[in-house]
Amino acid sequence: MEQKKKSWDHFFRDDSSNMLEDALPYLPPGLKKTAALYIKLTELTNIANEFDNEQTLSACGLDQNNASLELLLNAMKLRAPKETAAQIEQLQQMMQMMKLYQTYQDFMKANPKLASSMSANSENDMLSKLMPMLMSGNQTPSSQQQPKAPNNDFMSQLNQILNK
Amino acid sequence: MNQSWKQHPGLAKINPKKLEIMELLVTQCQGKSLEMILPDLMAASSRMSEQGLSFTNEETGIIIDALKDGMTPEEQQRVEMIRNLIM
Repeated sequence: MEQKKKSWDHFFRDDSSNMLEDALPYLPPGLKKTAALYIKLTELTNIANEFDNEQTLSACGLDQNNASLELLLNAMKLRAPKETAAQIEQLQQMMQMMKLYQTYQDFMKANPKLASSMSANSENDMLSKLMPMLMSGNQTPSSQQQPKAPNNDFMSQLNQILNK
Repeated sequence: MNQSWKQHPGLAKINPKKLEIMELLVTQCQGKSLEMILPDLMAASSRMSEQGLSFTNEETGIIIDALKDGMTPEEQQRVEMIRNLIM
């Protein structure tokens, strides 16, 4: 049977803290707070003294250098309340877009002939570049199925201006 | 309706046709949510490209600033992040 992975803070408790924690619900009301404080203070003391110990870190699974903003955000998103999770999701999408844009920039630098063959209009048309990104993060399930058409009145006036 | 965007120095020498289109965009789209104005913005960009017209970064920034007034704080934040990325 697979053992459930322990949370890292369990490694900073001793037997007496564990026993006291299990006993906590059954203590007299006046002692519960004191016992809870004792448990946590003991934990804090152990963390302060033993966290930097390599063996302890290894036992906790914290000895690896897994620093990654992407993994960090994913882990936080799982625990976050709905609104915060949505904000984290937005941030991740932005990071993804930045990566794509950087890839695009690198590609254009590496292929100067391709860059110069692009028309001046398409180079400067930031509105066209912005729109797909704005739309990609803004699609509700309904709008994904049926993209909204531009306003007829707007199109009519636009055509009048352009045809002058 | 906020008309202060017209005083931007970046519009001093703008093509009159482009200025008229900017005015139309702001008039039609100001105060509306991002979802409602995106189809109009896409259509304007597409039609202008057909005629060899396009907005510069500065002009796009002016349009975005004018339209941001009507957006929710979340939409404003998203537009700002994307603008910083592109420009």
